[in-house]
Amino acid sequence: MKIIYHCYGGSHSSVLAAAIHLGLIDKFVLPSREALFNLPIFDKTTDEDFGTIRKMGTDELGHEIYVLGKKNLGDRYTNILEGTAKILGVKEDLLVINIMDKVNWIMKIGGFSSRRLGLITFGRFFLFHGTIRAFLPIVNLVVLTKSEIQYKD
Amino acid sequence: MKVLLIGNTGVHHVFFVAHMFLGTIDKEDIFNLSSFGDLSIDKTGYPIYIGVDDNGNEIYTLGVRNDKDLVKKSLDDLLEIFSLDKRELLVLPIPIKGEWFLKIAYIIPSSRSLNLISNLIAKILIKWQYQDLNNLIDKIRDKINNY
Repeated sequence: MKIIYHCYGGSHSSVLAAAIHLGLIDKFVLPSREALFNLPIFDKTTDEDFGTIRKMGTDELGHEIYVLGKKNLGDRYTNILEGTAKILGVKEDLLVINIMDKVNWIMKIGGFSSRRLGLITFGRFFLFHGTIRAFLPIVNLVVLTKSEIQYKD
Repeated sequence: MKVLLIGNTGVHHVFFVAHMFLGTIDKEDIFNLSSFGDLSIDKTGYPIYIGVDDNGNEIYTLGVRNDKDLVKKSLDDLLEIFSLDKRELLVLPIPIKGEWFLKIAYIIPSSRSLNLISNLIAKILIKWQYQDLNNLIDKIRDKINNY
């Protein structure tokens, strides 16, 4: 199965969710600043990356994990991808997860400052603190997603 | 092959072009086209099935707001991650001058009276640019045949 986590820029919350899913980040321990910013892709995307589905890895059960930035298209994007997968006959092998409702304002300010304004040091200060606040809700979403996949398997 | 015609909504000019492509309507039918401007369908984000052309290609419309390039890129990637032949899906952005005005269809809350406004704008745009849209039909056919 392919699992796509998506958020606004495909750079922060979706990458964190994918990293938790893949075990790159321990879900039981709040990540350090170093662990977070050393993640592949995390806070490293550009405007060119919007819409690109990027592979983060393969989980322990062989599911491929992807991340995607879809701007303000919200849950609609889940349906765009799953609806298209359905007409292509591959819907049963795809799960699309929107992370945006787990993202707080501190993360948004940090992400906007770092990625859009280029104020990386300033932005990362907010990003780190925002991400720590969002960590448990995102862990919870990933755990639920993994349960759903196991149920489908 | 599945053909996705995409625009900022899938129920206005793109919907009209899809029906013109299939030959199921003519210019005057725009006022009688069933489901035209039905934003409750559009806002789900699912592709809207229109019909099948003479060559067996399934035609769909899809509303993607102002992010046609972004969505096209994602759907192309979707084919790739499933290792599907790229000829399984053709995504065609359908432009119309003044498309910006159709933003009203999704930035304001849905209600019958406000839907009437966006539908009216769409109909004016379509009537105004009927010839341009009609010219698109041959281009769409060429793209499908040469894909």
